[in-house]
This record gives sequence, structure tokens and C-alpha cells, in this order.
Amino acid sequence: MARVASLDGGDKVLGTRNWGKAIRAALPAVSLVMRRTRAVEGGPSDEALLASMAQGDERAGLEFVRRYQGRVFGLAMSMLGDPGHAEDVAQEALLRAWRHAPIYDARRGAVSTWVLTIARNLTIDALRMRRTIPTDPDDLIGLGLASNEVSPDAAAVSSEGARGVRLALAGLRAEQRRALVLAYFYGMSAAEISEAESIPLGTAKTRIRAGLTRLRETMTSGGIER
Amino acid sequence: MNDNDAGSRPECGRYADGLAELALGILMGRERALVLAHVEGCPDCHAEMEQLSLAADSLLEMAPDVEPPLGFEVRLMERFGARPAAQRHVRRQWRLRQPSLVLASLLMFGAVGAGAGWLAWGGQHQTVVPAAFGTAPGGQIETESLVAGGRELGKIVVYSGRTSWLFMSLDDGSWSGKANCQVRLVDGKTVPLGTFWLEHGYGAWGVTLPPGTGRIQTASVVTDQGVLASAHFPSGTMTSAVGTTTGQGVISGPSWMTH
Repeated sequence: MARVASLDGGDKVLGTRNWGKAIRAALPAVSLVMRRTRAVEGGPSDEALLASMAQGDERAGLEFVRRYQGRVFGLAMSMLGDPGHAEDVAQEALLRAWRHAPIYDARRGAVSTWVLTIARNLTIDALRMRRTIPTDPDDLIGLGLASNEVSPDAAAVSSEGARGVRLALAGLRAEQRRALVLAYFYGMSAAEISEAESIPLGTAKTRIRAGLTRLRETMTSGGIER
Repeated sequence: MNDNDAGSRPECGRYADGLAELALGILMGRERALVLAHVEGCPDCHAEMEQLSLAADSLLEMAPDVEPPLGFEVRLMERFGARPAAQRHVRRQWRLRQPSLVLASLLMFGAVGAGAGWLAWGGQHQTVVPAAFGTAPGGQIETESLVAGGRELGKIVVYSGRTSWLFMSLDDGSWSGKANCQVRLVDGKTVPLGTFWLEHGYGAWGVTLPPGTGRIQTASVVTDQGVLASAHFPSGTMTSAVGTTTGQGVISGPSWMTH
């Protein structure tokens, strides 16, 4: 039997078949590195952190970085496919968020959307400089689905929102899905998508519009249409 | 409203494509200006564009949560030009992570003799990870906090298996110098485990434990000024729970240290 002395004071007795469970239970107690970047229950809200950062509180900034570095890096990594390049972009995104904390406007959207949009825009800039698309759009969607670097607890935290989006995307036609990903994650205009996909400009525009409209309808209704 | 007619005005249909492209952030130049001008004066299209923007931004939910490379925070703080105190805080946290990362990896892979390897750390320190620092099915892991004056200064882990070991990471933020680790067994006997060094309060250290040691009740880190921190194992942790080993009954195994 594996016994784990937990931080909450109570010993947990686990069978040997639950060894993996025992290790996972022990890890949070011994390893800060396994702590994910999510807000801890009872911790300050994202908005409160940004307000403190705006006042020059570097500890708040550090907490903010720890809260978002995984997703920001993950987004850049998914789009760029290169860890070194992704780190540069992720750092720049977090620095900009930190420096622009005083001008964040909560009425314009959630903090997570704001930060990730900064990261997305910077990654698109980086991609444009490289003039390449290192990750196939279909693979990009797959990365979000099954990255083997995503820890189980992180996956559990992020799965609710992500699952809905992925299901909604799955409800689109493949060509619409590709057009959306190329537009949103690679910043490609309709003309660029037309060229990349070897389709008429009008077709590219139609795919973009139809794909986004259907995504909106699916997300709004909460249903999955095929 | 349908795919071909975003708003209720006769001209709205002309902007349907533009609304979607605007929401996705890929509309530029004159086209962008025209669509924006229409949206300004058309409440229906304005509402439509907001909904499309929400749908577009929902794609960000797919961003996977991936652990950045080690040292990410340190480099970020340096780029930000954070004050030394904040940078020191990051480094301290980071230093605490290094041994924890090694331990976590060993636990995750869970094989006895997880393999000796060199771990480069800080560009200056090199520490060897003993092969014995692994785990196997049937072993036991116990984790406790190292505390002093009610304040948690670190963690201590005791693994009991074919090859038992003890590992600790400590951060008291001040002490530099030699520190001794000793344990008090349930039978009242005090056993010294070894010596390691703390640098500005940071340090991590581990030692393999031969079998037959008995149950550990308290583990302490002691300096020449007294007890720095200690951890109490309420039920007394085993150090030789499984299998047979060739230990001699005296705790003096290979040790691993970083600070």
C-alpha cells in the first residue's frame, strides 16, 4: 500500500494499483513546477492582478505571468512549432500585457481573451516575418486537442471551454474550418487564403463568412450541428 | 438574419463578408474603412459584428496549456527590468523548482535506478542524480513540510522501497553555510543523515537510506545556530518497507545536492 502524507494533514492510503495516483497526489506537495498557471481558488481575480500591476506591484505581475504563461506559450508553440521562437513571442506578449495593464478595459472582454489576443497578434507578426506556415491548419486544431505536453489537471481546467469550441469547429465543413484557422491563427486575408488554397477569392470569402457565422450560431445555441 | 444578409437594411448584404473578416481581424485598408463606416450607422450589423467577434475570439479557447521552458520566468523578469527584489523572488522560486523537477521526473518515470545523469544548473553547478533516486510499485512516498516558527520553509519527501531515499528542498531566505540533516526515529534514536550547504537560504539535498532504519518521526535541518526547520511525520514514516537491500543499517548513502 502506498501512503501519502498530504499537506492537508490527513494521510491517504492507496493501493499499489493506484501508485500513479499516489505520485500525482504527492507531486503538488513537493513540486512547485507541477503547479499550473491557473488562478488558485480564493486568489485575486485577473482584473485585480492587472490593477495591482498598473500600480507597479511586481509580485502581482509575477502571479499574472504564472497564471498565463502556459496558455500563452502553448498558443505560440502551436502556431510556430518551435520552442525557442515560441518563448520569444510568449515573453513579449506577457511583457506587453504587463506594460499595458493600466489601459486594460474590462468592458472590452475577458483578461484571458485580451492576453491571448496579444499573443496571437505577435505570433502572426512572427509568422509573417518568416513567411512560412510551419503548422498545417488541421494539425493546429489537433494540437489543441491532444498535445502530449498538456498536463491532466491543465487539460481538465481548460477542457470545458475548449471542448465546446472544438465540437463547434467539428460541425463545420472541413474547408470552412481551414479557412477560419488560416484567417484567425495565421492572419491570412481572404486574398491570401484564396491563393494558398487555390480557390477563387469569392469562394474564400464565402468560406470565411459561412464558417464564422455557423460557429457563432453553434456557440450561441450551445448545440452541435452537423 | 442569414448568411447572406447581416442586417436589416437593403445595403447590409453587401457587408456580410466584410463583417466576418473584420471580426477575424483580417480586413485592411479601404475595405475595412467601408465596413466600419457601415457598422457605425447600422445597429443590426454592429450587433452582428460583436457576436461574430465573440465567436472568433472563442477560438482562443483551443490554446493548449504547455509548460514553458525552464528559466522562462527568470528571463522574462530580466527583460522586464524588474527590481532586484522581485528578480530574487523569481530565482528563489526557480531554484526551488529545480530539485523538485528532478524529483518529479523520477517519480513520474518511477523506475528503480532511474539512471544517473548530470544535471547542469545555473551554468555553474553540476550535480549528480544517484541512480537510486527512483521509485517502484509497492513503495511508499510521504511528504511533509519543513517548518520553523509556524512558517513553511520547504518540503521533505521520504520514499520507502527497494532503495529508500529522502529528499528535501529548503528556502529560509537567509542562512548561508553548512547545514546538517538528522532524523529522530520513533524509538527515540537520533540519526545524522549528512551535511549540505545552503546559499542565501536556498538548497536541496537528498540521500539514499539503507533498510532497517526504522520509522522516522521527525526530520530536522540543523545549523551551528540551532534547528533551522523540521518536519514531523505523524505516523512515523517507514524507510524499508519493501524488498531486500544490501544496506548496513547506518544511514550514509550517496547524496545529491544543489543550492
